[in-house]
Amino acid sequence: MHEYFIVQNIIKTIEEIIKDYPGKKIVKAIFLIGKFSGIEIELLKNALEFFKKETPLEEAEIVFELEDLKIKCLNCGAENIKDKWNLMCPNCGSMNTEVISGEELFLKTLELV
Amino acid sequence: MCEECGCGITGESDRKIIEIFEDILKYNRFQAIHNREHLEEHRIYAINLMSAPGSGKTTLLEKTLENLNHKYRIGVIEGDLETERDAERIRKKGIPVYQITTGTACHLNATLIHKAIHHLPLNEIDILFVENIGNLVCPANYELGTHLNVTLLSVPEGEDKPEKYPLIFKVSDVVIITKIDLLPYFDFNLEKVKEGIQKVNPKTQFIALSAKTGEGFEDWIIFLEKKFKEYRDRL
Repeated sequence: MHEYFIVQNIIKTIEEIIKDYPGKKIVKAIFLIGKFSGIEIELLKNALEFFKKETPLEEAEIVFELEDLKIKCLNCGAENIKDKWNLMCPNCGSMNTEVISGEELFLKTLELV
Repeated sequence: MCEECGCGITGESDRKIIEIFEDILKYNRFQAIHNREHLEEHRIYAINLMSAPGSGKTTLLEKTLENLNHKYRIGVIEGDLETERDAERIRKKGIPVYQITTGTACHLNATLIHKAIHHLPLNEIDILFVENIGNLVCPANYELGTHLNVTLLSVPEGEDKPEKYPLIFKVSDVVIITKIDLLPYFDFNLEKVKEGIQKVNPKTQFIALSAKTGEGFEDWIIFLEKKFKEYRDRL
């Protein structure tokens, strides 16, 4: 259900964009998905493959690029990739960190012919 | 590739790559911003209650209404309920309730909230509670336009939940540990859980309470009133 709602949003976004390129066809769509965006890539892929029929994405190759969770420590300046959502700096133990990437849910590029 | 000779030079000229970098959930975000503006026009402070099923959202809500009903005008949007029964109980207290019947949906989104707020007497509400669908996963992705995200974690659910479901704790302004009257019967170390949640979201605040015995409940009411006052002062 959740993934279907996201697919609806994707299709709506793409329909808006493609309006500006009359006569063009989308052959490839690249998405940038953060590992901690809350999306299951496999489920989204399946949902998108299923629901793209009769939409501008029908003949497009769908590519997902995964983005790691990266945090920057505001205390010691270290940047680290984390495999769990844990904002503690592994270098100095500070909790004063900011998330640089890992939460994305973006349509990155469209390739048209 | 050129179909005639196989070279890679021609045939690419009409191929165009456009950079988009657009948030897939932007429509929900826009709607959430609109909802927020709408609520603020009516000076309403809105609270999004999230948790797994059975963590005590409805019980917390009922007790909270009993505590605040004489002082503030309250409204409720129910997303969680299978039946109208609980909504009816709240309605009997004279509180305006709108029930979103989501069927089998796993989360509320900003569009559903927008429809719901137009069914409520907005000029007669100070504080609006939104009871989200019982689910620790999906609601985390959808801003509703509310001012405060509250996640409940009950003692019987176990202390590993923040580690297993970090996203919901990541978006929570306050985490309420509920059913603390059951602490003697479960391996649930309050301090350890707080520590775990702080690693996920260092800014979140904690309240531990039991709606049954009333222990800690005052902390929640004081917290809410403080937040409400800050909000009204800011407007």
